[in-house]
Amino acid sequence: MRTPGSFWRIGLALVLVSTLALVASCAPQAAPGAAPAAAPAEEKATEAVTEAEEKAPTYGGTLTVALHGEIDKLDPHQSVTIVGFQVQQNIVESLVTANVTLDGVDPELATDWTISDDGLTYTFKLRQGVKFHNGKEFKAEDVIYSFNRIMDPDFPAADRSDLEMVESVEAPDDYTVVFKLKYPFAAFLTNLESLWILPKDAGVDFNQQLIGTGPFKFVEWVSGDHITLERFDDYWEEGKPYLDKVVFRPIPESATKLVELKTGGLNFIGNVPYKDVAELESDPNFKVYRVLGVVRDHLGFNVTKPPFDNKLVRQAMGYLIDREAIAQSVMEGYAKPAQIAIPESHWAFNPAIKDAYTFDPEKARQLLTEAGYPDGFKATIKVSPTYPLEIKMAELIAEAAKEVGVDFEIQQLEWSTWIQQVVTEGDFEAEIVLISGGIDPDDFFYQWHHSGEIFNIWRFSTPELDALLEKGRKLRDKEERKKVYYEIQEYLIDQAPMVHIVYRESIMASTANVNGFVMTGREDMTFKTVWLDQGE
Amino acid sequence: MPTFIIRRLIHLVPVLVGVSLAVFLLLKLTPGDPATAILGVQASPQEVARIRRSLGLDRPWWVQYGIWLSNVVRGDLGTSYQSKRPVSTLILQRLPATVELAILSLLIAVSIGVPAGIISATRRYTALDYAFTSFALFGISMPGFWFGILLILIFSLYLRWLPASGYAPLSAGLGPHLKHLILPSIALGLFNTGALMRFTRSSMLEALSQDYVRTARAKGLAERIVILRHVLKNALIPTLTVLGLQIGYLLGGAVIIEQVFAWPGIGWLALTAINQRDYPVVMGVVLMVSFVFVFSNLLVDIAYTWVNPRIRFDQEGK
Repeated sequence: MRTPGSFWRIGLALVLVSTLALVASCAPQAAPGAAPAAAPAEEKATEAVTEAEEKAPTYGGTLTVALHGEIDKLDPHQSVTIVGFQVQQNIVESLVTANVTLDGVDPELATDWTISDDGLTYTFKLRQGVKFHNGKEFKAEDVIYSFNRIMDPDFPAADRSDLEMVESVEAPDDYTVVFKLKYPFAAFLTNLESLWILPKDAGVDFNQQLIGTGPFKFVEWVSGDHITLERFDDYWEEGKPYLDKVVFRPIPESATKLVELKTGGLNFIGNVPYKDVAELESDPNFKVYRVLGVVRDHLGFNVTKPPFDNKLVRQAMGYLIDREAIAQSVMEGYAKPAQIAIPESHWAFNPAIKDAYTFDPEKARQLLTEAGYPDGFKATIKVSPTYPLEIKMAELIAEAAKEVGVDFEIQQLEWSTWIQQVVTEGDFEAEIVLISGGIDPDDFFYQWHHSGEIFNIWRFSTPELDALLEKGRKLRDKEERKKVYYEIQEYLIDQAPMVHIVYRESIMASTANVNGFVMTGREDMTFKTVWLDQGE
Repeated sequence: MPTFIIRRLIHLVPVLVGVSLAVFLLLKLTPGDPATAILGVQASPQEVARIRRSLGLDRPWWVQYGIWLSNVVRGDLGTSYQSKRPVSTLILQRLPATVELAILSLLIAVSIGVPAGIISATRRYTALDYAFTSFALFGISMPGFWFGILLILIFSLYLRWLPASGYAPLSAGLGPHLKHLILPSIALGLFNTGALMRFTRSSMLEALSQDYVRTARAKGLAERIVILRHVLKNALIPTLTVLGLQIGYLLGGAVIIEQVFAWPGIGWLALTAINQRDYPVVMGVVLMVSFVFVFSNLLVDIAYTWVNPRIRFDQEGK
């Protein structure tokens, strides 16, 4: 489960981008006359895959990739930044990996698994003949070692909360691992995704020398300059990887990053600024990868304080957001109106709420009058310059709110301060931020809305919602779960502890000689399938 | 002179302690928690408490500062909260890149700013003077990061003469090494060039109006000699002072320029560390930068005596 991690990962990663860089890259731009055609996300991804199959992949070469900041730590059990994740996911592997459409998992170090009828026992068959970079053979003991490491209360693991439900991990033989859970947990499999397997008894500090079973070996990390990975010749997947080397370079300034891509200093970049997408797309020297993923923006309310303790007021705010206009202007067309956290393409998305909130100031006015605020009120929206687009969204919303007498003051806070005031202390009235990640429907709702969860930023908690959320994570039948999550979505739309604004596209780009990259809706940068045209 | 140097070196100690204390307090006052930055937001309060305890963050600030200071005295700058690498290693890895950048941009500033200032002053109100003065104004007003991006667009994107970012170690060859160094040095040196030019010009003009200049001219010395021997030497003292202070600007300005050019120096290291609330790294960099700043100003003071022998520090206060 990446959701909580990603929230911080993306946050931290963006923190590293200097404010100046953001000013340069996100300076107000006129909305393009015609919105770029919303690229069908999956189509793009499949395109990349088919292409890789059509041309025969060739071996060799170095891929130079930009990271938007320095990674925090090398040890993947401790790292909390998205850039750390992007590097580590090429070196280490998990039992299972998220699938391309991000709504389930595929086998990785486990080949298959069975789940007991009571949902309490998960038995994994491990892949045989897998080697770690230090030559050790991958066995069940490494799985036990890795999970015990994460679960050890004395070890500062980033993802320990993903394993709260685990009672024990055992290995009946070298290639079988059995997890016993304290309670049935439907999202357990997706939780295992990105819980990395490290070798037992490696005798090294993984913060200095990371060892895994992944397609690339860690070679060196020169602080502020580069991280080099090298092809692992004994990789278990026949024929892969294709590249000899992957070099990651931290480049926080997006203008610099773009020039490096254009002049051959880089082959691959993430977070392409919106203003540059159309130009890169029209240039045959580059490839652009776009997916409408799991990154979404919302306007959230502190439901413990007036005026947002009133449901009608919160609903009114839902009608004050011109989502289409924000998608076209602030997001320059690289976004889609959103109603709920879960993307429309997800199996658990409830189509009945598709158009729940429209832009309707008249309706907002009625609701405010009904709520006892016929003349509006004053409130503060807290945002962070780390997310400059959210500031523009706040401005557009505040402008629309003026029409109904609501006077929003937009307060900008440095990111860590924002986290402390909004998330930790609950010292806010309204906030706008982006959230990323999620595979299982549980990822999209439980930790954000269940009572007592750290990420229940809005402090909204009701016994009904808690009961639904608990039911949803315990059920095993997909159709039954779907019903529960449909209900949760309807409930949240009605209660509106937060109202959604847009889903964003993730946009990456490469030089035209890069083939086989598989784009997901989050920030993955796995280069196992990537190869370069030769003759370079 | 040796007593002066020793005395100044002793003065260094309270300055460094003062600066580090001020920065330490500022870090403490800044919202945001290192433990949260290390563990991620989803960590439970117990985990956060444990990390805070293991880092000693639960103790009163003066105890924390005392421990840090006593470690520093013993030569231990601590370990990065984030990367778990020794702070001294991080600084040593990244200091050379910043020093190189600072030295080259200082050289650019001196070799362009000083001669331009002299020419401007001696050819006052000519087209050349106006041209140089305008350039100086441009240099002072232009934000370094923006100028850096312009340089990248012109020399990397359109002309393709120089790389846009990064650092090439000397082991990669002198050519690539210098090529990577040029753009960031120019971007960083621009402000100093303008400032130096203006200072040289105004102190030259002041010196030119002195009586001894009139005397020198009256006794029939060639104008060249008057300018170089009499005017310049006296005019250089304020210029030297500015130069000393500019080293501080260079190290500070490097924070932004290093970001723009993805230059692996200590400015960028410090910025990342501040955002990650990585206190030991921030403190280490600040200590290093203050030391370089104070030390280079000591060198400037010593240079005064060379430029103007009338200045004798040993007689100070007598």
